Amino acid sequence: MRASVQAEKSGIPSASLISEGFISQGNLTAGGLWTPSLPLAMIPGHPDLHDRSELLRAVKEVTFNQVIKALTLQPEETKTDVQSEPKDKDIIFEGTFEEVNKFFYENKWQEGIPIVPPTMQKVEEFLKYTDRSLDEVIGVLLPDNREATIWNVAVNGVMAGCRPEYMPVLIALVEVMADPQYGLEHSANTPGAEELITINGPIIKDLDFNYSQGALRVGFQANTSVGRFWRLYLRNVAGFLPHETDKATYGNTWRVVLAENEDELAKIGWEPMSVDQGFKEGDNVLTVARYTSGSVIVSVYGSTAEQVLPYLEDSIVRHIGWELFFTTGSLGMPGAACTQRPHLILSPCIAEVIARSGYSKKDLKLHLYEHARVPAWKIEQIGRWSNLFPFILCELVEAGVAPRQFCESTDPNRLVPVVCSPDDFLITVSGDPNRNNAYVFVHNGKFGYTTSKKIELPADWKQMLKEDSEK
Amino acid sequence: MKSKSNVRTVSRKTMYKALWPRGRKTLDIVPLARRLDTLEGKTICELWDGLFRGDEIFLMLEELISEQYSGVTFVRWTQLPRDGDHGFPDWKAHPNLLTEKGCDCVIVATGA
Repeated sequence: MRASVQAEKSGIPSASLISEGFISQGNLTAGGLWTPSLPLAMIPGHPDLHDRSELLRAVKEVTFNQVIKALTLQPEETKTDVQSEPKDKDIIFEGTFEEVNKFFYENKWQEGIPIVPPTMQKVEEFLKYTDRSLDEVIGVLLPDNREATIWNVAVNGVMAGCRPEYMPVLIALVEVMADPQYGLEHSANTPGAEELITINGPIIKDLDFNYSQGALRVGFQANTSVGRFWRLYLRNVAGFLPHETDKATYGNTWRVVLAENEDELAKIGWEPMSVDQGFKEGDNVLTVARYTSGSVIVSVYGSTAEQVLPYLEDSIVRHIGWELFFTTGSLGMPGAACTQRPHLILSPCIAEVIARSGYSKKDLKLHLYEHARVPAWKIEQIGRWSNLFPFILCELVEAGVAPRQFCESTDPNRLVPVVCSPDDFLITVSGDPNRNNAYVFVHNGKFGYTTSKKIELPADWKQMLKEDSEK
Repeated sequence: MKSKSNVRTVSRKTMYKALWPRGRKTLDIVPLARRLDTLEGKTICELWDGLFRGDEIFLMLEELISEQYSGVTFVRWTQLPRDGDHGFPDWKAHPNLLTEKGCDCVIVATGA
C-alpha cells in the first residue's frame, strides 16, 4: 500500500489488491499512511490456497470489477477528526484501580492484564531519569502515525510496571522503533513474529536484570516489565491491535529481556554482543530483533568444541525453514536477501567448552557458517512449498539477488549456508551457568532487522540510583 | 483497617487520575489522484511485492482489461526496478518513475 500512496502522491490513481482477510487492516493502514479513502480491490479467500481455476474465478467475479472501480470512480474522501483526541498530559479518566483498568481495557490501551494507573506523580518520577525534554519527539510511528515522545514513553513505562530508573532503557527501545532500519511497520505481519531485546553493559547490574538461571522467564521486574513495555507501546503509540492493524495468524506474546552474562564473557575472553554490533565494551546497549520462533537445544554433550558444535549446528539448520527467504531473497523481493541473522544463546558452561578449545567468537561464527548448511534442493523445496521464493538458487545468483556462494555448482545436493556471512550469526552467553542447554532464535530478516542503540544515562545516574535505593 | 502485619492496606476508595497513554496523531491527508474517465488507450503500470501470486493475478487482469478496453498498454512489474522496500521501487532513488514510464494508473499487489 505504500507503493499505492506513492502513486497517489504523484497524481496517478491506484488500485491496491488485497486478499479478503486483510481488508480491515488495509483500510486502517491506509489511514495511517494519510490516505484513508484509498480504494482497495479484494481477492476473495487467500490466493495461496486457491487452485488456478478458483483464483481465476475470484479475480473475474470480484477483483476485476473492484480494480475498474478503484481506477475510474472517484472515492469520497473520508474526513478524520483528529482535533477531538485528547492531548499529552490530559487526565483521561479518574477512578479506582479497577475502574481505571476497565476503562483502559475498553479503550484497548491495555492488553488484558492490569496496568499501573499512569498518574502525573508516577510519570514525573520517570521523567527524573532522563535529561531529555519531555516534549521531545523521538519519531513518528506507523501504522497510526503517532508521535513517540519522552512523555508518552514515561506514561507507558508506568503502565507496564517498570521502575522509574528503567526510563533510559525505555527511551532507547523507542529509538529502535523509530529507526527505519528496524522495520517497525512489519510488527503486525502474518507470521506474528515477536521481538527479543538483548541488553549489554553495566546497566545490567545497575538495574538488576537477571542473566543467569531462567534468563528468558518472567519473575524479575527489569526483564519482565521492560519486555511488556515494548508490546504495550506498540499498542498505544504505534497502533498495533489484534483484529485491526495486527494480522498475526497466531502471534507470540512479548518476550522478557535477555541480559548477557558479561562476567562469564570476561572469564572466557569473549566480547559482549554489543561489541559485535559496533559498540565499545562497557557501553550500555540494547539490541532488538524480531524472531519468528525460538527453541531450546537440550542436553548439549561433549568436552570439546568439536564434540558440541555439530549438535548446535544441526539444531540451527533444523529450526530455519521458510525464513531462508531472508537469506536468499527472491526475484520479487531482492531486498530480503542476506537479512537473516539467527541468534544462538549459549549457557556459560557450553561457552566455556567452546572457548577452552581455542575458539574465539569469530572462530565460532566461522565454524557455524561453514557447517550449519542445508542442501540446495531443500531451500528450493521450501521455496516451492511456501510460494515465497519458488526459484532455482542459481537463477537468484544469476539475477544478482543471492550471493555467489549459493551457486558454486548446479549440484542440487551441494550444501549451502543458512546465512550470507559468518557475521550474520548473533552469539550471546546467558542462562543457567551450569546447565548444558542452548537456545536458538530464528530471525524475521528485514521485517524486524537487528538494530542496536546506546542507552543514554542522565548526568547524575549513579547518585539518583543510590538515593532512590535508600528510600 | 488496622493490621498487625507489615502489609499496608490500600483503601478501596483510592482514586487515580489516569493520563492519556497515546501520542499526537500527525495527519496530513494526501488527496487522492483524479480517477480516469476510462481505461481505453491508457497505460497501466504493475507494481508487485513478490508475494501471493501477484504475477499470476496480473496476467489474469491484463486479459480481462484488454477484453473490455481497447488500446491498453501494460508496463509489467518486471520492467520496473525492485530495489526498494518489499520489492517495490526505491522511491527515493526513482522519485519520478511512474511519470517517466508514462503510467496513467497503477495496480499494486498483493496485500495478504
